Amino acid sequence: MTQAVSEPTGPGAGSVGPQPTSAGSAPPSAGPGAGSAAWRPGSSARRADRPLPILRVQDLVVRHRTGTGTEITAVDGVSLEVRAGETLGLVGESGCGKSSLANAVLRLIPTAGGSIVFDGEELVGRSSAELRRIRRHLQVVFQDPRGSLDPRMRLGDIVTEALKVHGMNSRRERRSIAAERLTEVGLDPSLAHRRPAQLSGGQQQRVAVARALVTQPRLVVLDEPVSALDVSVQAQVINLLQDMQQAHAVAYLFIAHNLAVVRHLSHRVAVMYLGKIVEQAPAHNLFARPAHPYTKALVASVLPPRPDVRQRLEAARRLAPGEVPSLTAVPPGCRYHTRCPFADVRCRNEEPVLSRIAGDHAGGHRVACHHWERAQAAMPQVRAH
Amino acid sequence: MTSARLLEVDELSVVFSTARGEVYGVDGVSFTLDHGETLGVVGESGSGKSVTATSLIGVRPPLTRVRTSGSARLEGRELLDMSEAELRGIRGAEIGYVFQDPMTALDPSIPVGNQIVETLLVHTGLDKAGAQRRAVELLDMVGIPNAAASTRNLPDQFSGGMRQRILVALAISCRPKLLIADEATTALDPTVQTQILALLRSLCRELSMAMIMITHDFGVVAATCDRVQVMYAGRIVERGSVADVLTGPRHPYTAGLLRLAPRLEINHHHRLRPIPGRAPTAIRNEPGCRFSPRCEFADDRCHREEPPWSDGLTHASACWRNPAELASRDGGQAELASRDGGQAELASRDRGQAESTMLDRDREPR
Amino acid sequence: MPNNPATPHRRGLGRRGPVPGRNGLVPDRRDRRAIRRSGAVAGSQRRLSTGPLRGRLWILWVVVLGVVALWAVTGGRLAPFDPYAQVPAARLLPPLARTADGTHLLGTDALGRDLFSQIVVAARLTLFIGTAATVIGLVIGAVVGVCAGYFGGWSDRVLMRLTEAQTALPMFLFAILLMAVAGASVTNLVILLPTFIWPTVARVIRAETLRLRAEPFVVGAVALGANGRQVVVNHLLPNLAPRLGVLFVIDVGQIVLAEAGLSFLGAGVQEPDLTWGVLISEGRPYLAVAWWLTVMPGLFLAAVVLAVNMLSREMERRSQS
Repeated sequence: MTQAVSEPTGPGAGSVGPQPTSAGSAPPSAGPGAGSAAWRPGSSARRADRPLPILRVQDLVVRHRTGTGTEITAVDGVSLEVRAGETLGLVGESGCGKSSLANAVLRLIPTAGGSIVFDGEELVGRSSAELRRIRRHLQVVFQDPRGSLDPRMRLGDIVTEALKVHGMNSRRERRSIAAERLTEVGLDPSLAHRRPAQLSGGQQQRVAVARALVTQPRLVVLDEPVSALDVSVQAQVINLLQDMQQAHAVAYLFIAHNLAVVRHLSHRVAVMYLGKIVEQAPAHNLFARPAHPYTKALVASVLPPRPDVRQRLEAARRLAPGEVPSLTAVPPGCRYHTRCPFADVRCRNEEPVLSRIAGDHAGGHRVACHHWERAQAAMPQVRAH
Repeated sequence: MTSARLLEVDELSVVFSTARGEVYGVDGVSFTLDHGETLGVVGESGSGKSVTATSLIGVRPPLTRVRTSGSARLEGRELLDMSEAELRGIRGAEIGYVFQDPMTALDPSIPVGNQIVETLLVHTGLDKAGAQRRAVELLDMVGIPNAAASTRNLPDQFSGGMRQRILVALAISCRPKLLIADEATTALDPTVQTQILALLRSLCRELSMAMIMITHDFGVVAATCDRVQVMYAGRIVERGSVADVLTGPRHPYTAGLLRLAPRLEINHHHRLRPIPGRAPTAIRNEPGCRFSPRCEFADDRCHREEPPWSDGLTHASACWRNPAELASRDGGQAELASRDGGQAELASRDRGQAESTMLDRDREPR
Repeated sequence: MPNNPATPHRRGLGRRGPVPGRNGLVPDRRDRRAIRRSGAVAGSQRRLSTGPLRGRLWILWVVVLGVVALWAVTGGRLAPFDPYAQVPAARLLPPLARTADGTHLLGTDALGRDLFSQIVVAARLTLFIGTAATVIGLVIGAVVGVCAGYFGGWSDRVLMRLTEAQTALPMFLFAILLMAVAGASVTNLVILLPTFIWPTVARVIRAETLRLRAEPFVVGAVALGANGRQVVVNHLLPNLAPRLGVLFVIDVGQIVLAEAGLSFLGAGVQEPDLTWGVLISEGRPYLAVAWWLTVMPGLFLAAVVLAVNMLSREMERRSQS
């Protein structure tokens, strides 16, 4: 299969907009300290050449109209890329635009600007017929396992719906594929004749995963796939997602608000705040040495089940006081300055650009903050309290 | 007999009659709570943690036949025998309740100030002006900016976090002795969750209020509670001080829950180790340990007979197997627990150093 | 240590004796028996949930519909009397009246015709007009509603204005006018009656389609590459089916009543054709002296509508569990 990865063209490419590619830098994972991302699916197969981006989003803008008619910019000039076989985690709190970004990538909602290149093909401006063909390789798992399975269909038909839609296999073949896939995700193949309501939430999400993978897609968008599940079931589905990535060499765009889950599943992580990416780095880097004050606040907000977590509560509260501002009144300058303990005059006036942090030899660590050095250095004190 | 304890729950059972037979919401739960104490109740959906709490304030799911037995005494007064009128005097006044979803718990068509004033007029001797003053004080106390002006706003003019603060203000408006927070921060964003948790903790301290924190998240319990009890399928399976339970879980279910959640600071070489299977959706009156179908240590006796409570004054569990036996069979968990325990000690001695140790371990190339 | 969490507290429990054994925290068998005995609630619930008819009531509705359908199919051969035979001596007999010819189960009308036989014969046309007109109305309404709801845009606006116009018209007067122009016949009735229901059907289906369109499983189908036709056929229609079933049940009653009304005004079914509606309207002048002429056909009408309703609920329940 040939892959022509088109370089970004068009008006956005030359502008000051954030550039996601670590242009010309060493392959990620070359440095000795960079190997701690525990598990690298598909990397053995393509270790020689750098994994190509399967998805490249460039200066993407998504606008919504609210109930009162005002227009809000949910995604404001976001650039990112997902490499073949890897997981890009996308974290942020409600209203940060992560789901809008996902829906825009899936071309379920219109975009107001920018480009989305998937597997070498520009998705923006495609006819719906062309999109349908591409969607074979671009699948999705939603948060709500109950709602995302048609209650009137049998599980076997649900799993193989994509095959039917794309006219890929005969009815008989589909039946055996359904049984195969249900077994693969840890379900009894006899369930093929059941309906979704007869399954638990975890089982339903397994079916959703099987359905997303049935066409052997290159990228699956996972939109909060475990948030709605009970904790003991979450772990099962997380393991399943890892197994599936290993077995099918599929890339994930993994969207979640639970940092621990993101950390566990992702190779690289992007943090979104009010429609912008504020920090992006390999997962171990981001969580070990967060550079953006907001990322630090998020990391500090994770409450591990340890008796000493009480001190953390105060630190987290001080790092991110107040609330996320409304998208109808985005603060000028740096969007985080209203909550940031490091903010000064410059932050209120000048919007920081997502750029590589100095001294980052492994590559790929970017932050949009005027004072990231101070913020990053402040870490020990911050976490000690 | 007046009791020194704030709350004594004894053999509380809640049974729902459904078309498919009797289902236990709660099955013989006993616990106590002292004045000013905070208790975490941890469990998954259907474990009975919310049913326990709602039965304390006499709230029942609509259109369901419910039978409650046992006893639940608030300062010696039996809650389960109270009439609806008596319960109304308890709810809000002596037991404050914070629900998960602030939008449905607040009336969307009434300004938030009026909702608090209403509660105050019902339960306290305040006159209207006094109640209004108090409402502003309360909103200020829970951190609503510009409290006086905010009283006139409708609930949907506030963000989710602010609404939850308002709900907290409503719950503490009559200075209850007990605050029940039922998954109160589950729906909130992480940074807002820590704010609300910090708020709840400081309010408990300031008002010397006891709190029952119902959650599925051990981290929330660790951040806010003195003691914790873990529920599974309608029963309490383990209880003890937060430090004891978190660092040395005795029940396989507790150990499993602590083990399976992905954590930021633990290296991700190994896969998560989930608890196999899933919790029962309908709890029936069956013999044996409820957890035994999912338990890797279960033997015949576990399936046959209800496990006894292990003796222990501050830390106890309902399991046939003794903790040492579990630890030897489950090496990984024991190691994890001891590592955590060690970390906790380190943290209390020199927190900064402990944190950086933790980070170093994370950064180590493997 | 402020308290002692592991110690069971059983002080002041006068209602039950202390439970022996170290396992004080979990009720033992004796406790459970006490719990079970404690509520009258449980007893009444048991009666409710284990009565002999529980879950089997649907058999009755199947029997009702089966009998009426059999009458419709056999076309009067099951009637005990000739429904058109006028017996002047046996006029306005009450139900169960005996004559030389036999027992008139439901009495006779003003011309001495056996009411039961008339009801049996009228079943055919009643069911035919009712179902045919309702089905036509539902199909039109569903097509309009799905198009408006799923594809939206101009088609939505045009179709919705059309249904509004239709709703604004005084339908009954309009129907009388049309029937007068076109001539009162069963065919014209089946063509006309659907206009009574399809605008409301279209609105309900449009709203339901709008709701379904936002459901993750429909969005998901689009995301995995389904085209409009596949979404409609595979997801929308199956999920609209229960709603259409409910609409059918509601509208069958409305259609049959509308047919009865038109027939009563001479703009509907004409004698010698018989429907239950015709029978009801024929019996109306005699309401004070012969109540059975209106009540009995009315009861059959109600029974059929109820049976359809109950059966659809039963099917809904089964499809869910």
